[in-house]
Amino acid sequence: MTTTIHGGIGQSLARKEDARFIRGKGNYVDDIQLPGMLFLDFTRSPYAHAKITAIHPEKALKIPGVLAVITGKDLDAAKLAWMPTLMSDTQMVLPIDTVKFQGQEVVGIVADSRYSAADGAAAVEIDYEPLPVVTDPVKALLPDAPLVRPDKTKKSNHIWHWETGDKAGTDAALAKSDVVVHQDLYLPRLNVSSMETCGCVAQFDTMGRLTVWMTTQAPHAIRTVFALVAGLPEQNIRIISPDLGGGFGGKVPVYPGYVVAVVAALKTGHAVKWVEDRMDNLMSSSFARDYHISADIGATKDGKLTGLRVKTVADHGYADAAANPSKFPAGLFHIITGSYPFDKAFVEVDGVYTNKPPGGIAYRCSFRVTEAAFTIERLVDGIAHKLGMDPAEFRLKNFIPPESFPYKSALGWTYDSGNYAGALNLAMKMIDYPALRKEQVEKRKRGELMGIGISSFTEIVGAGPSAQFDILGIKMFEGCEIRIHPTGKVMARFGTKSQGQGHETTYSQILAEELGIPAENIAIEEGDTDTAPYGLGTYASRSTPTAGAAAVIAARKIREKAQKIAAHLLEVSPDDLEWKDYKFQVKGVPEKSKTMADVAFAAYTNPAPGTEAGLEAVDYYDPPNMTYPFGSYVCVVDIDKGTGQVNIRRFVAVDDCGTIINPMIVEGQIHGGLNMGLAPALYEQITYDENGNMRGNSFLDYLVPTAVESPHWETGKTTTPSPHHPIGAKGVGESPTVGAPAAIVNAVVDALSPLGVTNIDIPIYPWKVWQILHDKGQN
Amino acid sequence: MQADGRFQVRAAPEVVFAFFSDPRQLLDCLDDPHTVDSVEADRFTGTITTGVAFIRGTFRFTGRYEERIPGQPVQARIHGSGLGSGVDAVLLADLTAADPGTVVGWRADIVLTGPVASIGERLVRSTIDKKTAALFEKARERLEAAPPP
Repeated sequence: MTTTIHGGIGQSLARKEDARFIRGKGNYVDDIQLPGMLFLDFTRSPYAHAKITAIHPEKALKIPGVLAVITGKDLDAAKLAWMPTLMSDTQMVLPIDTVKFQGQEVVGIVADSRYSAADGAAAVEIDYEPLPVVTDPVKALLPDAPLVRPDKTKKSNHIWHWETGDKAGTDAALAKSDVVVHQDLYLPRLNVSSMETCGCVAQFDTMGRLTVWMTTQAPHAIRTVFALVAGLPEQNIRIISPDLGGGFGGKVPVYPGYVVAVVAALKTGHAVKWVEDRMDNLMSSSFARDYHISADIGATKDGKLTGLRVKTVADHGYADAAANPSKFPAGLFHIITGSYPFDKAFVEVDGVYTNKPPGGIAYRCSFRVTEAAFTIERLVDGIAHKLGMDPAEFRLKNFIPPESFPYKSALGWTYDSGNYAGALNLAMKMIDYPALRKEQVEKRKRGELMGIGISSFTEIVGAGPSAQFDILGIKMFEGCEIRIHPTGKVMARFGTKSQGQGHETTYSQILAEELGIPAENIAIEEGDTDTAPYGLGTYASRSTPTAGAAAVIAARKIREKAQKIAAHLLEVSPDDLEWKDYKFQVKGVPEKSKTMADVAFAAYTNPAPGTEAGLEAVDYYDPPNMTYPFGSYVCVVDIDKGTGQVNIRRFVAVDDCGTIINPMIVEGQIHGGLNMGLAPALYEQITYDENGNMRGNSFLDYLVPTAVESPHWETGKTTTPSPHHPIGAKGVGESPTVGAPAAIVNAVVDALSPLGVTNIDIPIYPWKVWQILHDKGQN
Repeated sequence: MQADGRFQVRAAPEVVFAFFSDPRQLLDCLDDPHTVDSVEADRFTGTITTGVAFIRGTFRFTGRYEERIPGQPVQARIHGSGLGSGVDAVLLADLTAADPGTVVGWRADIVLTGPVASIGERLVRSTIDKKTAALFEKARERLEAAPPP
């Protein structure tokens, strides 16, 4: 009989954090109230590009409650008008003389109430001289385009060029291919729209020590940036990230509001709170996607893939404020060969400035993996259709076989493990793929539009190995510190930060499994730089692959010491003990044993000779490789010819994230991620008009799918552990977001393919489908 | 964004010219609550409380006549700001003698920026069409109601 521990790995333990969340006891930034606290709001630019000719704060200062205004010139006097981005670019805190995007923060207003601050912001009068605007990155590269960043040495909107792969070899492979499919794809700009917007409370104590309660996914990295920007000693800065209402990458960057709140606190001597409203957030917080992709894929006439060539223009807005690893300005986009063994591949990306908000990380941030997976899965479908092959059959013919792992891709990654055919076969079985194709044939005879789409994606998460991964030079390790108290209760602290993923539960389960202590006796703490070990934070599905591994290694360090203490208690040699059934047992004499609680008490009351008192350990985990979750999704759509409405009839998602720690949490992550994959496929996008006006800066126009729009998600799993992770876990948060869009779009294109349709731009609004049908005489 | 139109008014060209050359008379044709705070030479300032759908607020504006020579089109440039938004407009009235009265060809080139343009994007077009048409229609009514010089 297998012994289990309550809350160990593999159990659907109810989320520990939900006890406070569902009772409204969460503690978010906006819940923080401090004596004498003031409020910060911003006057924002109505122009996408304009010279500031004058700022008139007089009327604002006459509003009761308004105490101070802060301008770019004020900040410039303290050398704080500009700050570094996490990509070693620079961005404005507040503009001194020129605004670069509509909605940019221009003047900070400090008042004794949120309402007075908002009234003050509305009363500030600013004179602008409009300048030419460029919001299209392709046009921004033209020689006569308005220059977005004249402060740069390079007098061009081109930021960087990055490429990898074998260009000549790929060109030759494609030239020799029997079939080549070219496809242009655009992944529109998106906003994460987390329930909680960004905000902070900044306070200096009487000794000049700064504490900032902040909506951040990466408190340690933010503290370091603050130290660099403000010149404050790092030990005098404390960043606390309390409960977060979602992050999805949008709470990784440093925003001007954070910095101005700190300046305002310094200037006024009071704590200062800044919290965005929804429009502020939509207009100016970090975005996702905005990739213009042009790709070619080749195959032999019998359906073997030969080469992949991808050229991309990446629109970064007016500053490159993404948070990609330093060596990879386009993130991990070169996972674009996906689940297929290309011999030759080449990818190049050009980063471009435009008059839009900066960013480029957010939306289950994915380090550009979503863009990559969407591209390859659309292309594979396209070439299968061109060859007249079933897209499932084509994929099964081309997948990297399980026996090839670890697999070195043409673009340099070493995939740890995978069984792609296993996942696709399970998905096809769950949805009864042959029956669907048969039904489709019948429906096409009747003129009905039914489509089946597949996406067999490969993810790359767990950034990352120190040899390749750093942000601003800081290696992307992750820390865990465990302390077992005398009564056998545990406090574990992490450098990561949950935004709703359930870290308190998941980490407790890992430690329960490793320490033999029930999960309810394990407390997890994150987000306080004064107490947590250093870490780069939570994004890109990296917590379980990195911090989860750190927890395992730290726990095993504790077990090593505990074994000596147990041996002392049992009066045997440590070598005579084994860790079995969650306790130390004398080999062959299982009734002679000591639990971790027994050992913990002894560690403080009766430590073994030659051992230090106490029972604690720290580990900073430097992963030897990334992990490579994968999955296969099958989507079935029906299209209403009269309205163009796409109805997702079924969606089966088979994910493989290696060892699953809490199946319920994983399923929740998958459901959330699938909705975030549905969103760009059918609903969400941010666009700008020719004047740089943002279209969609409220939920009137930015269409976040709700429960009403969400189909019934059917989930399945295969389990292919990561061979290099100590418990085989891979991470799952962003996988469904990565995989879902292509499945949905492939289904819609499949439905329309009898009409000669090979692509449709996302989001697939009903009017786009209706227009196609109308043009083809179908309605 | 552009709106234009043409109407014939039973008033002499010099009367129409004088009307369009006077910011107080012209702006008084606005349906929205407004003030004209100063008129000095070619320049004028004031406020208007307007908006798109439920997004409404007060804009302060400054205007300047760029062309105001009898016998030639009258052209004014107006810049306004409010609600965190901006509006830049060029209004042009081309007057041609007719029988009876004057034919007025008018055009408004308008650039909106900020939340008014963003949130109200889908309603802006129709709102501008409606408001500019109303402005010039009221101008026609005022001109025809005015006693002959």
